[in-house]
Amino acid sequence: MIKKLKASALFAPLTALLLWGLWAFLPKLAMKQSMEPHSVIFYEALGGWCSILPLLFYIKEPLVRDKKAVGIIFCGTSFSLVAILCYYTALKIGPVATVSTITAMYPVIVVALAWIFLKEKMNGRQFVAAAMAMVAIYLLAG
Amino acid sequence: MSVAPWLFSSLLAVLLWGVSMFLPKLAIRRLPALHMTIYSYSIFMLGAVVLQGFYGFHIDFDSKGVLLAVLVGVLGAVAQIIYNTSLSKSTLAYNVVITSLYPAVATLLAFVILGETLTSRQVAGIILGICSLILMVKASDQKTES
Repeated sequence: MIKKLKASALFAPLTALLLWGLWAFLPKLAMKQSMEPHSVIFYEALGGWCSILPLLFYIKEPLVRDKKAVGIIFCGTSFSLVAILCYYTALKIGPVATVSTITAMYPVIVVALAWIFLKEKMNGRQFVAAAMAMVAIYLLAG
Repeated sequence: MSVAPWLFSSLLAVLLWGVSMFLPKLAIRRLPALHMTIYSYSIFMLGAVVLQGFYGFHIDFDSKGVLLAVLVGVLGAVAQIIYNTSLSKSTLAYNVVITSLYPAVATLLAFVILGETLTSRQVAGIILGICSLILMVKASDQKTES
């Protein structure tokens, strides 16, 4: 049971990793079809929104209305939208490997914010693993 | 010193993404993961429409490009649902460090599909990335056990 739980704890972020790998790569192909970054974002949003609509029927309960949480999501999503626009603009004129690699350095900021505001602490081995991941990303920029 | 024109956009994306990946951890304390994803993508759709206003609502159309862009959205949404669910069960650092290795996947895809060159340095990066992933999982297991 515990082993299963551990496996599922890894399964989720690994699946997200693979899907985000595709997510980071496919816009380059879309922009090769002479599409501008803002247009790609529009169709991306449409695709994403259509994919999550079935969830409304799946959850069978009204959406929880928490003004503070929705406000936080609004800020996060707005930042994310501008970040994606910056990413696609860079991707259109720069190489996929280097651009996706530089932008993948965001965990440094996330980990710092989690440490400052959420008091999340990493043990020594987790810290080494995070540092190794950042070096790996740096090497990938090759 | 000449700076590549795409570097500023990339660095701004790093900063904004850093903050935008941190904020959901605050919201997940007050909302279920699926509800959060629905809100997030609805706001994203709204934002994407507003963004088109800045470009005079000139939206390019190319059937293949549209198909790929829609696929990007679908994959991103599925990844987001999985990520948000995982975020409600484990720490932000654990999830963020593992998922941050997605450039290794993007680099491999660019090599296989676009024929972009894969240098020995990038191969070393992919191997080191896999090692860091294993170490992160083992270190987190150890933390849970202790």
